[in-house]
Amino acid sequence: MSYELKTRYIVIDVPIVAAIGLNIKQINSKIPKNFVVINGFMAIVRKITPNPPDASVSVTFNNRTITPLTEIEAEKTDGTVRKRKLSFWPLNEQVQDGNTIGGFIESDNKILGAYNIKLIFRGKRMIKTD
Amino acid sequence: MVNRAIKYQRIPFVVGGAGQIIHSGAITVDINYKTVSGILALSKDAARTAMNGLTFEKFEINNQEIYPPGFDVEILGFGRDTDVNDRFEKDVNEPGQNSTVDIKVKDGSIAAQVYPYTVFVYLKLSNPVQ
Repeated sequence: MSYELKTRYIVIDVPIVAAIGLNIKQINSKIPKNFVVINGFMAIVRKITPNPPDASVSVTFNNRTITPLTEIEAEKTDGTVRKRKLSFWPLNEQVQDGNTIGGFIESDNKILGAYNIKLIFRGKRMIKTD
Repeated sequence: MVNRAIKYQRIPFVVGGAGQIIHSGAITVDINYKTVSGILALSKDAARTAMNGLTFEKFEINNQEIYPPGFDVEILGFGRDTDVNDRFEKDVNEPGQNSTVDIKVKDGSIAAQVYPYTVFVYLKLSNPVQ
């Protein structure tokens, strides 16, 4: 049986409830099996109406803070043309089965309505090749 | 017959309405190319908003998950300021030669989105240069 390290992704969808004002939401998610390193991270505000809320995120691996509180890029719904490729925040975290991704999202909802924040991690995973 | 070192295989998705899930069906990779070495997504949507909310429900090559459900298609997109050589997602090394590609995309119900629109997923197929 042979294995190869290949680039794979983890998506964590965090729903934020409808409430005006400051909202802090904890993240706690188990890393899927066979990931050995996480080398990139990105967060997106998913709101299906214009004027998405301001939000920031801080991520931890096994209760160790990895990224400072960072502003999340909001989805553009106003026809703005994106000029570059979306890029991942570089990380280099060795992980193993059973590890968790934690942290918190701080959001300031200026308009009433629920929305989602999506965290996307890029990493290397052991994949069976035969 | 000598094959070119690189070929691009196009997979179109026509999204007809809000929240629709479109399935590519089982697409066979050209038998003459050893690897899938790049993936790119682009839209012909005039307002350029279509890919903002579009996600993969499924993206598999030979029944192995490449992108998890909820992964934003826009991450595989590019803008006009992106260098031509940087437009494809390069961190891809999957088997070609009759592999089966199975993709489902889901519309994100972006406000004021005009339907239908077309999104193309391009696979960059390559052979080692001798």
